[in-house]
Amino acid sequence: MGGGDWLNDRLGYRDWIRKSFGRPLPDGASWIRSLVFALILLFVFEGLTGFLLSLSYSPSTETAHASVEYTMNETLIGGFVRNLHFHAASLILVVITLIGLCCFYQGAYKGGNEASWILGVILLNLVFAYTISGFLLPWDQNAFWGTKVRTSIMGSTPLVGPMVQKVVQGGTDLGNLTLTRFYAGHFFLIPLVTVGVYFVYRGIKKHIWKRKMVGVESPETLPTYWPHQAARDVTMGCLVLAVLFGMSFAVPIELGPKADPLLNYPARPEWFFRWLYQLLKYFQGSAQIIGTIVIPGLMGVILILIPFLDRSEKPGFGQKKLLLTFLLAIALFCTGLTSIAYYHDLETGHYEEVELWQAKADPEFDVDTFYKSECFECHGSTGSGLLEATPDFGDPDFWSGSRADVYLIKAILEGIPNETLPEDERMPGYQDKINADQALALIEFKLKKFPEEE
Amino acid sequence: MLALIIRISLNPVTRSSILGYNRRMQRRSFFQSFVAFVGSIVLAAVGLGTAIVQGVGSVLHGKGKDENWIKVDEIDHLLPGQPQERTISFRTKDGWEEKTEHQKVLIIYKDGEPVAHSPSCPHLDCPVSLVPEAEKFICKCHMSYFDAKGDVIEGPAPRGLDPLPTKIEDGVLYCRWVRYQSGGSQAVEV
Repeated sequence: MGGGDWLNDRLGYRDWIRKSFGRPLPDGASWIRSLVFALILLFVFEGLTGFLLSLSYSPSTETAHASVEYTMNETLIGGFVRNLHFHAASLILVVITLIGLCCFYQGAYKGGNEASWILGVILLNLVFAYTISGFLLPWDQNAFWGTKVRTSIMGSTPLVGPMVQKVVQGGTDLGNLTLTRFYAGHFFLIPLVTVGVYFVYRGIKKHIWKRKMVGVESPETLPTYWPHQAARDVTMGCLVLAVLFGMSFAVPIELGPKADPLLNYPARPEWFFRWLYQLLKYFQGSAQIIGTIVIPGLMGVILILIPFLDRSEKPGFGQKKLLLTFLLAIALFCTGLTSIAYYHDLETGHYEEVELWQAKADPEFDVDTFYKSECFECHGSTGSGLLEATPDFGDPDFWSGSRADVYLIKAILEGIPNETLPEDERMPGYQDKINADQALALIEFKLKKFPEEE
Repeated sequence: MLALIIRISLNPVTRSSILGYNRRMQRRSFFQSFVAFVGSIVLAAVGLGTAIVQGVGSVLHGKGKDENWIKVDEIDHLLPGQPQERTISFRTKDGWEEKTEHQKVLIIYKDGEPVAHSPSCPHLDCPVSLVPEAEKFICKCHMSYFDAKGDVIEGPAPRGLDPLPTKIEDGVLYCRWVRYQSGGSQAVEV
């Protein structure tokens, strides 16, 4: 008796392998099924990259941003792992949508298969929970202000809203306890529910498989999982991972400046929430709840009800034109809102402002020479200012409070068009001569260094 | 009650001399189902109860409001007739961490009456900031505009900027830091 037999006697793994890999497929092998495999693979990948990121993450207001910065800049491939973790979430949404479309086209939820569809909708909501909780963890400006909006949206729910908001935030405002809560949810609670959903899905799948096998007369003629479906699964898996790695190489995910309640940052949500963001602008006053709760809630209900709304008897779009038109209208509505949101940001100079926030002080830039040639004339050698309206850079009060670097960068680049001053005493703009990084270097290495005058 | 059920179910032998075999088994399986059912509810309640008390209750229980007056600025330093921003600093506790918190307050100083407003937009808690040239306030998240008195000019905000309690003592303006629930036409403290 070989070692394999000895083990098999105790574990019975051969039977298990034969049953799972050799199981006959009553519907044959399919590429759509391989999308489900790709989805599971992406979730596993999220678990792996998430675990790797957690190795150097510390959830507190003092450490969260610094630890993510450390992960990105000082660990070997931390920045890339973070890109993978971020982009895989987008891909998960894309794959879920693709699977949903295929199921809708085929009417796959027909004949007592509604449960899988509803599980899919639950999974979609779990993905939103992942993205909302994960969004805050880097604790940068966008995360902080964006999450403030999201918890306030929760707070706008009638009756229970304020209580829910408090429980989610861990208090009346965002802080240490919000980070620990979001981290625990992102890393433990939501994955736990996801695994639960997976096991329910497996149970349902097995049940449906058994039901389909009852009608099969000669199961040995059916294609088996291995190698027919396995080949498709692995191919699709490789394809999705290739896209994921390509995206992660091409589009690095930035870490913004650290969260600061004093500095107003124009926060924006991820692309898949942009339509919702735009929607919020239209509902004024007490109608606010229509944008925050009613419309998103209705969309969720419609999504869950699709298997029951679809009365068609054959696969394809032919028999569900009305439902299809309705869903297309919703999709068009969301796409339109998203486009308006992006267009509006382009128009109002949002991206220019964000660029200023992202400025990194350029150490190559010779701040002393520049100061002497351009600033000296009005601001003087001690930085205290020679004109009536020039500020005193040596005064600590000037640097305290809401004076963010980004506003100074803006003032240096664009000037201050103060109409009450004579034209030759106004601060001119220097954007033809220096860029935002150099302006920040000027602030950091020159203006902030002027000593306080006695 | 529960103790009685357990005692009976643990002593089937005393019953068996009176009842026939089948009757006994029926009764026994009834008791066992009953114990299993009640027991599962007890187990679930213990787990859920622990989770709710620690995870939810400890947040809602919360501490009292911050009643301290915080210095904003000396009255002489305020610019009359202009909306302006000031930074306030106060000690606070964020979870386990004792720290100095900095917040911005929006000051409107008209006719010798300074009014302080919370910088939190009453729409969805985004930051409101001053537009100095235009003498108005703006929330750049969803584009709500407020006039120099704090009333809504334009945008989705359901009410004007929320006022903070103020007092003037020895020529110094003080305020209290209060958080309001966003949304709704009435300002409600949280």
